[in-house]
Amino acid sequence: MKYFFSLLAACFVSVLLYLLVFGFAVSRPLVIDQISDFMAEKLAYADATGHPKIFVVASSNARFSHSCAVLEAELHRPCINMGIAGDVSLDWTFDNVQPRLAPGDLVYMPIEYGTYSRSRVQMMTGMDAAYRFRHDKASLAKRGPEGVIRAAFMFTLPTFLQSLGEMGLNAAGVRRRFGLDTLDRQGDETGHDGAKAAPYLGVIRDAQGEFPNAALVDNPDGAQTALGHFLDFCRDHGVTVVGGLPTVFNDKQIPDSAIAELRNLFARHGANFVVMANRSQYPRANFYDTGYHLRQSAQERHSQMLANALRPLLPARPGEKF
Amino acid sequence: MLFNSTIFLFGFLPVTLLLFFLLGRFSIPAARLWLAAASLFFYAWWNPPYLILLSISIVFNYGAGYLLQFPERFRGPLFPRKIVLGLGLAFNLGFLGYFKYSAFFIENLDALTGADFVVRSIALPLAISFFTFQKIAYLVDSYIGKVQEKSFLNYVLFAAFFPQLIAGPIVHYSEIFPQFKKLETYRFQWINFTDGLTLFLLGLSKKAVLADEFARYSDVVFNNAQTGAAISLVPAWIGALSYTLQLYFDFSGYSDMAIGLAKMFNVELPLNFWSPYKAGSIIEFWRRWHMTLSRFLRDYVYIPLSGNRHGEARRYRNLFLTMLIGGIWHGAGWTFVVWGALHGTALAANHVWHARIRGSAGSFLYRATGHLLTLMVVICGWVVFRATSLEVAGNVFRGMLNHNGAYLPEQFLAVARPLRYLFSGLGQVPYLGDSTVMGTFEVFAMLTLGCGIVFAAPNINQMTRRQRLAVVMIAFGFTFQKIVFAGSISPFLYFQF
Repeated sequence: MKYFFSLLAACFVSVLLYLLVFGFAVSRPLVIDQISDFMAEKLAYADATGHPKIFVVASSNARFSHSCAVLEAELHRPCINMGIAGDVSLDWTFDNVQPRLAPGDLVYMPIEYGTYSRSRVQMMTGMDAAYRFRHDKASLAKRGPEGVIRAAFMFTLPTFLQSLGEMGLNAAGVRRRFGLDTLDRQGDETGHDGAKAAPYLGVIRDAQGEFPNAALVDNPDGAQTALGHFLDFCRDHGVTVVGGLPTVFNDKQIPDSAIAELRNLFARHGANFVVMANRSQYPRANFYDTGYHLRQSAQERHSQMLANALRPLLPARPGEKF
Repeated sequence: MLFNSTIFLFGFLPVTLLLFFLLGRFSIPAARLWLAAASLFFYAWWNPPYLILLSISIVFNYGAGYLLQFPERFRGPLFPRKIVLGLGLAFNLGFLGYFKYSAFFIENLDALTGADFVVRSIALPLAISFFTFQKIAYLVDSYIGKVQEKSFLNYVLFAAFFPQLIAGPIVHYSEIFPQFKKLETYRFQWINFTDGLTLFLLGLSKKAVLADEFARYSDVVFNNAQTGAAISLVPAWIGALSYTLQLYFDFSGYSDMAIGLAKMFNVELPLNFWSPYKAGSIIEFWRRWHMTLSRFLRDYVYIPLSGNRHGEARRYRNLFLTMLIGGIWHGAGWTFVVWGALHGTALAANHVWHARIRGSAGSFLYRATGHLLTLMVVICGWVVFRATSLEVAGNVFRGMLNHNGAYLPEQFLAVARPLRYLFSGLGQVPYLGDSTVMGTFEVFAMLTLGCGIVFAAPNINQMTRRQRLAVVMIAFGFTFQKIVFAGSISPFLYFQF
């Protein structure tokens, strides 16, 4: 019986060690912790600028394929690119954007196709949850007990090994190819073109490409609920929201049915939806390292076109006429 | 029902254990009946109609076994025992052949003759290969007088005992049922329960924490090889090595869990693995890998084929045929035929080496070469074993032989510059580590850890209780995370056989 209780104790200590290790000891400075630096940089710019302003909200497609610098120059109001990474949960971005919105602001949302069907559990176990469990535990409380527990138990053995590797590389001064130094002040990714894109030519040539599937807006319990709450908040607070299509390869056209589904989703919450003539689709040669990331030159062209599409939807400033 | 599913862990297992020991206090037949019924329920959970097939197999083999064991009980003319045995074997092999091999046979007949027989899709009943071999062993043991069992209930319990029903270890009646005849088996014993639970948890960790992670690395390579994608050197070797580790952790994990579960019921199952990748020769490998299958093949295939009784050439032929049958037992496909033939050839070559050429066996170089050669044969064998066709295996082998170039992530090479002499840089290497740099680091780190465990660490059965507890303390947190939170429970690889 003593041996049995030793086994029970070993199990208990193991779970405790697991929580202590991932909650207090190891971290992933190169991949996970970076998202907080990015968010802080973007929010600092948002806080430093006046209203009305523009937010571009999506995942890495926003950061790589959209240029707030271009939108800002074209539309004459501050623009903050909130895109960080694909695995950052939308609701974390919403939580950070929402307090910074004011009537007359515009939020453009070219959300990636895969994000719409993300489940509630996936939302609770994104990169931000890993970051928050390690460095910002108090902020997890907003997600309730389930959110805290899911964040606490999202780490695997490979995560542990990656953490050790990243901590070692970080200590050795190794940096990722992206960082605060490759973001402009609006939060756009820059420099992802030319020689930097050369090693990815083969990847882009062989990539399958991102495309909406039949389950595009299935699974309404997760990302779509968070999106719905955010859209309702914007509608109720005089913020204009414009949904849009993410940038993808133009191998085949995005079907009308998918566009109609997305348009309906946004319309149900009083938001607009814009579709550019090219449906945000570009030749593979315009892409950088994945099927969602345009090269900088294409990013700027796309943003130019987007500015023209958004101009008529911009809420007028007090006393301003378009 | 999977051993790693929550319904098994938190429902089936505790209820079955509790009632078994509770009933055992009052009535041993009732406890046996309960355990047999629970085992059949466990089997039926997967696909209830196949319980009928298992039941037919049980009833038939019990009857045939009875006829073989107690011919004197029947008055009047009776089939000679040899014919009863022959019919019994034919039934079992026919049963296996119909469900497992008929589609393969017809496909090949069509290909060979140009005929157009329709291949009906026949779902393979879970565990058919395992329970068929076990029943063949029962009939042969009945024939040679090693088994005496009159009770149908006892036979059902032996045939369906859930810890070993699905994927072994392949057991003999004589090593299992005498344990069920002991009174103390029906008395809850903390020490056995805790030993069993410890083994079970360690096996579960092997499966959930290690095997399922290695599956991610190997699946991406083999699935893409199946589509005809060109796999480069590093992903090809990583796919092959990952599968080598996946299969070991998966199957030995399953065996540990099975042995642990049986031990909770005070029943000892035979060992099935003994650090097989530490083997210095292919002969030794088969003494350490799936030991109960090797034993079965030796006792019921190799020896009946005449074993080593009629000269060397006959012996090598028998070895080859035995392994070929072992290969075909694993699955109906040419990959399994080739895998069996490869091991048969390697075993025969190893015996030739031992008999004629053997040099300085004690030297380090001899042992190291032996280990390396054995590993190469085993890894190449697993590539064929894992591939869905010989073309897919060829595709992976082309990558392993550097036909499609050798690449590493550019950022990797920027840090480890000497590697530039061997590898070219790519932004993302397809099919390697989620095509990210840290993903690639993760794969290398996991492979290093996996190799460290299989080559350098003692196996579970060599560990003291204290050492086992230490491993539980390290691994349980990750296992708990996988089982309760990861949300994906993968079946054991050997369930497909």
